[in-house]
Amino acid sequence: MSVELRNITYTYNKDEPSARVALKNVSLRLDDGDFVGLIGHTGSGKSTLMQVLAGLLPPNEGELLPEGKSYPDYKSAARVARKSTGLVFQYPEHQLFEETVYKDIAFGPLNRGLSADEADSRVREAARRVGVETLLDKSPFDLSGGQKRRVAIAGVVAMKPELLILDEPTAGLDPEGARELLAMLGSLHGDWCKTIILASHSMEDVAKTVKTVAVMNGGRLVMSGSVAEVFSRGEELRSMGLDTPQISRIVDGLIKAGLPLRRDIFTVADAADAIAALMGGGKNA
Amino acid sequence: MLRDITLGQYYSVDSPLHRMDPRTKLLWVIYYMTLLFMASSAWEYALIVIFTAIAVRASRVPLSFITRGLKPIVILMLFTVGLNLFMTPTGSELWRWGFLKITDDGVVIAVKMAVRLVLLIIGSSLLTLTTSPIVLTGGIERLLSPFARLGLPSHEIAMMMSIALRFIPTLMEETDKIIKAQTSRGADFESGGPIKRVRAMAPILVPLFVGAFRRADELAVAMECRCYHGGTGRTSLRRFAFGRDDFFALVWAVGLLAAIITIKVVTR
Repeated sequence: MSVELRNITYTYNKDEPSARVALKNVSLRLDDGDFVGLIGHTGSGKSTLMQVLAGLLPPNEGELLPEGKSYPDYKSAARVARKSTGLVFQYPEHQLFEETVYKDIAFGPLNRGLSADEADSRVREAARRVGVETLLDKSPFDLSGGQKRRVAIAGVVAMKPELLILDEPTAGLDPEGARELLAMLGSLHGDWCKTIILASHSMEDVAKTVKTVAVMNGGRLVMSGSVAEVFSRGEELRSMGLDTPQISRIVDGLIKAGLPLRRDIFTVADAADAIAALMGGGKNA
Repeated sequence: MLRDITLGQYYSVDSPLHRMDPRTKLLWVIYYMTLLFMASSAWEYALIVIFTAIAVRASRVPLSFITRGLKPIVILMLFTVGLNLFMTPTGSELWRWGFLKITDDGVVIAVKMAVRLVLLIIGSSLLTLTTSPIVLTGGIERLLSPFARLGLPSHEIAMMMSIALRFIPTLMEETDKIIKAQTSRGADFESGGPIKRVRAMAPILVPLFVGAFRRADELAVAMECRCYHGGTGRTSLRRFAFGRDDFFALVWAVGLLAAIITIKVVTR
């Protein structure tokens, strides 16, 4: 499924003194198989953009085209968008409400009109993929923070959305939990959810997980392209209060010091390989 | 939809009403309500309507913003008006259908009730629209402080109110987010019969309450960490003083009372 946004503008508290423009003329297209990282500092409009994409926030101007098609009115477009999209909000564990983890994960599939049997297999599959299959009979309120986060994500994943949107999925997790979560998302992509877009503050997360990067600044979409294209514009990113992954900064430093390294290195593993090759060693398997 | 509730929402502009001492405004609202319930003839109501219009104008809050706050009470108003319209036994009958009848007295009472309710809401929301919550509770604390000697915990009451007011927008934002999150999971809050709709509220209410308790807990710890121990010996950053605008408020108060008494005497 492809989804497209055309010239979207959105203002919070429109017509009030506290009005704040969150999106200015944003156009974006996601195709089947895309895995996009959305970066931008706090207040750049990432969360708003994601809600518009999911059909949850009617834009003031512009058009939402779910499944690449134009619809006569916003309402029907939003209905299609909601059906094919799963949105994991920031701190999704704050939305758990059922007595057991099983029931909470089953909430989405049952709402989509699946039979009890189908929902059951969806719940078990989603729980297995997210790594919470042993917690199904527990109360979601008895779990640890990281477990709650996984359960909440499983609740969205169980609907098997074609487009999965995640707003800061690793916020507040420890490094290990974050790493596992991102690896899990990588394994979902392509096979369970066709398209994934995730917003993140962490350039490291983005660099090693996604295929393409979109950059938001002040409500505008200012850059988009492959990970290498975007992170090679380090100066521009820094001027927007963003940064490149730590390892690329080290590589930049080494290049400045005169070492013949490539500029498109964004993960520690790649850097290790490149440096090892330079020192005459083999691949660091 | 949740943005429609204006109660407890401060509209930040500069106007004579905004500059007034919160104590003046609080006393004015009580005074205004008393006048409203004293009023009986159409002339008195007309006078209060005109006065309210002037106050709204002076506050520089757009009328559309104020009337939005009236939406939630529309049902209450229809109920009150309907009850008075159909159930007033006195007066000459205008219309009858079964046990329902409309009398001329009923019409008059229903109209008065409607006007009174609308004015009541507009008058009290003018207070919260022109006074930031923190200033408002400061004013309440000062007004209640003479009763502290009688054992009234005026500071604690004011603190509770300011915390409650402080959390209205936060909880509304949270509710908005939870509704969206559950909508994204296919929850449907708009169709089905009343029982189904009430059941559909659980996915919103449970997380909302859990979140509210979590916030309360965090706030309590944060306050303890800063050695909060109640009102004794506590000084305030804000000092309230009686100014020019408050003087005008007093003049208006006296003027309005004089006008109403005049009407009452003349039309008797």
